[in-house]
Amino acid sequence: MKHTLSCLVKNQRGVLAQVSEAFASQGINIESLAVGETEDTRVSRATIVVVGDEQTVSETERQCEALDVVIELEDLASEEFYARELLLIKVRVEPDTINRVMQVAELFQARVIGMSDETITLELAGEHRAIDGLLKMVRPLGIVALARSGQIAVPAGDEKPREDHIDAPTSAHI
Amino acid sequence: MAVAAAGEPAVIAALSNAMDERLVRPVLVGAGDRIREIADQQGVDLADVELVEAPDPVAAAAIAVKLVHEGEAELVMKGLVRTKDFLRAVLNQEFGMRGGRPLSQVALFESPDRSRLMLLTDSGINIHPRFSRKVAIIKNAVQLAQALGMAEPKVAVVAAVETVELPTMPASLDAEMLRRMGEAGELGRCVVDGPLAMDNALDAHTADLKGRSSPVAGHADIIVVPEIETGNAVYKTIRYIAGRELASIVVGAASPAVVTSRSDSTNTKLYSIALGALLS
Repeated sequence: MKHTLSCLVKNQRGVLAQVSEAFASQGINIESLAVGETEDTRVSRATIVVVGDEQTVSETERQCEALDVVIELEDLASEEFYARELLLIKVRVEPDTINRVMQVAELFQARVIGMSDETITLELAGEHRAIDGLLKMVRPLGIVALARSGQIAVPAGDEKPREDHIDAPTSAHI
Repeated sequence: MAVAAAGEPAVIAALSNAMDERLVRPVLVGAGDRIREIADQQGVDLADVELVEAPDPVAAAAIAVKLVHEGEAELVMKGLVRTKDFLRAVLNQEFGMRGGRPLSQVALFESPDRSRLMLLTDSGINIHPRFSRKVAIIKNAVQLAQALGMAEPKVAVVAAVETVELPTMPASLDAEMLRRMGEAGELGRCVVDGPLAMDNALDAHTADLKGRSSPVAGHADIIVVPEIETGNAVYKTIRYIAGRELASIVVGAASPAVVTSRSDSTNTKLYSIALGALLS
């Protein structure tokens, strides 16, 4: 089963290695990982998408939470959350496929951000399913290059108050 | 020609002119008393004109379109009925005039040197057409241009610039992609170029000055605008600043539809009827 984990970590050197190691030690493959600073520059939010059985993932979550660098870890499957992913994709265009490529872009509300003699580059920010949907439709037309940011997510609703676990301000290290 | 909701003075005046010119034989659909009253005021003789009673403008649109659907008329004209109600009748699945293509408006006007006719599209139906709709708009206009004798019309897809500017000017990208489709013959028998600024489309010398060599520059038969704001402004600029008359027609349906604005002059209405008659 797929799990989307939102992990608040201290913004310091080596944090990603420690968190990744916790998953690797349980044999869990990380499907996507996106990290960035939060509203508190001393804290980063890592959105980690993993696939694994309930028990193994729960055990890994406990191991992560035990790490000194992890402030809070939530499995977002248990609550409502907003998740988005960014896709940049370069699609081959021929005169007889231009209309289809443009129709797909319009259908998914993807933006055309570049073009060349042979390709169009599209940008789409959206839910995982929308990204997959667009990919499915343009694949037969010829994907020349693509990059996905990995999912970022925040829980819906009000934020719970959290204790300040940060001892001293640090500069960004991740 | 079936006229939906014909009880409007400007429509009756235009029809009177059209009958004088023997362009059409109108069938007037609407409130008979009101139509007769206007005709009396204008001294128009309706003795040989068929009147079909309709309780309201929406019903009048439906009846007028049905007359075309059933072969009783070859052409339909909008009178005093809202454009969206009229077009809804045209597109009705049971009794409408669907032609397998999206509808678009094409306006016909004289070239700046008055040596030939030019087409402008779409100035009245499609608000912010997406790319695929622009393809249909061009195909509609090309078909109309060919019906008017332009065997291989030159199509200028206009934008504010001559190069693709992303992401700020998406119309320039559409124009470039349409040019490529045109070059490959995907838009029918025509020569397509874009993006072209309006001055380049109309004046070959300006295009030369800007280093924009193009077979279409200065010779455009069809001007394709990116959205309705531009189309509407160009249409009214031709009318009110250049002082030229236009004719306009809605194409894409099985038969053409004359959809004029209340602010159009009597001549523009007459020319639009003439264009519709020519095409039907």
